[in-house]
Amino acid sequence: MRAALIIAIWGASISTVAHADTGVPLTESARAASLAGAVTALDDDLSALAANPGALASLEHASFALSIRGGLVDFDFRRTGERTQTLDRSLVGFDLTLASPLPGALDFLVFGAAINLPAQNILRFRASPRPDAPRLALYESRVERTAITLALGAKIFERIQIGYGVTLAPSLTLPTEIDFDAEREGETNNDRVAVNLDLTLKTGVAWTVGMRLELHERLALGFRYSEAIVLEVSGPTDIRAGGIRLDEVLDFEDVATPQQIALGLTTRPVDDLLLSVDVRWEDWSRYRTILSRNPDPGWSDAWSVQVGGEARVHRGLDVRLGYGWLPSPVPAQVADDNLLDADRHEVALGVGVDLAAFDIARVRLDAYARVQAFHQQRVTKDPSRLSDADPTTPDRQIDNLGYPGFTSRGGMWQLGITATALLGREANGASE
Amino acid sequence: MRWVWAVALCCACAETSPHPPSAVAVAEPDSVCLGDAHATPVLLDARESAQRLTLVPEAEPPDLPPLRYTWTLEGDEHRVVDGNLGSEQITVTLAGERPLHVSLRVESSAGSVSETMITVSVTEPESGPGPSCESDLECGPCRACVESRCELR
Repeated sequence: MRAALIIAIWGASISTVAHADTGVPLTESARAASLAGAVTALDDDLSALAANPGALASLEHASFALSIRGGLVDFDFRRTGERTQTLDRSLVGFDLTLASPLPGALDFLVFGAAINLPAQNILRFRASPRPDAPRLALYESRVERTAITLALGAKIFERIQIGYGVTLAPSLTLPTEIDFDAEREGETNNDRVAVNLDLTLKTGVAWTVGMRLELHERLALGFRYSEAIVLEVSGPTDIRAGGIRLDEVLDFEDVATPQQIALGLTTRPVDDLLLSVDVRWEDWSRYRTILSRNPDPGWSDAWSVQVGGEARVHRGLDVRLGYGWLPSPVPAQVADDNLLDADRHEVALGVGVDLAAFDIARVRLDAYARVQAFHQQRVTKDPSRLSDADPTTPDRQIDNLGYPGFTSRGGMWQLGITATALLGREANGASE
Repeated sequence: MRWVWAVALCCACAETSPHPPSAVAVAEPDSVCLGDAHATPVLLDARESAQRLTLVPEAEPPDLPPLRYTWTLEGDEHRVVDGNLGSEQITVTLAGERPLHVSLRVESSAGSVSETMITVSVTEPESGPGPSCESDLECGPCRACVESRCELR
């Protein structure tokens, strides 16, 4: 465990513009992304580990997949009457996913495991010295985190599949002592500094349950419930430097993923065409800021809709198109916070090639491009809801970084690829 | 304070130079009254910055080249009345319509850089009588001490 923590600290010491892909669903395959995430009822895709463990039971092959994605979130922020500033963040991440039907008489069970890796750090928290600094609500000031997902799907009847999954993500407790001796030797001022870090990595667990119901050979319904994934960094700090002592308690938390319920429907009206639609509810009203406090104003729950289509245009070649309407959970920023977010439209395009159809290899390659366009955000601050910068001085001192108001507008684009290798035999013992 | 130290843990690790300078900016006064209309000079002072970031103050080595300063001012309409955006001290006046956000970038002779930001707030007068007082200094930028009471100017 200490080796992993050293890596996390070492990683945090490298100056980087590549932050983690926060805001991107865990274990999302390129196929799922190109369908705008409308995959709750989708079969035969490894994204089921997190999207719907019940659908995992539809896998007939042992499969291993590597997903890589990179993208950029770009926002323009402009206080009323001032120049425009640009905030941008890169989103880079990797997924490794493995799933397989169990052998023999247990082949109605499918077990899957996945690890989600951000670009550099196992766990990294970053909180601005100014809590009112303009920042992206969903893509910034969030936690870079590694997550491991385990899931088990079962085909309990011919047309009913259920599943259960857990996601493990790290949290950190760190009692910290720094003892700095004011009497120094030599020319440097850093002698006799004793740093005692007692880092404890806790593992947060969030579970997911799902079900997939095949109403007809061409029509399926899916359901998923996911518990929220909340990560924490906490612990007392004790810093002594000569006669100076600073005794603080760190308490940071981040809602990496809110509690969710998703309903999906997938249909194949003809053999070479698939259509899917999802409706999703996300419990953002319980969101707490990285400083472990309730945001002001509080966030709202969000209902979103995603639709996707996939067409086989040639032997072994699929093209995909997806659209998502993603309302923002962030209310009008009339108080201290200056979170940049708005309702957004998502459009995704994708292509998939099954190399087995060309007798090359038992490998599928899927790629996608995704774009999110945010509506414009307009804010006028309510001075009565702004904190007094100096309560000891008469009247109200206003120093808010969003005062008297601001506008913002942004977009996100992302590219990704998934390579899926089919391993071994089918669950029924047939081989290809 | 909690979040300041969190950033210190991150930022101290993120520095590529072993001896970053200390960037310290002070504003006097740190607030102007709403609608000040350039009546109040505000001194922005970087003299407490130092060549190296340390927990215990130490004397500056006498033979080092001076620090280089870069001020960036955003927010309220402002006029520079003394100094310039590269000097150790700069005096500005403000329209007093919104806060002035002041960024100070300090570069040491070794090429290391540190930045800090402070805000000159704008004071919005509130209705009602002010507190008791003994001098104007206790009354904030919008009031004066009149007969031991802070009254709006």
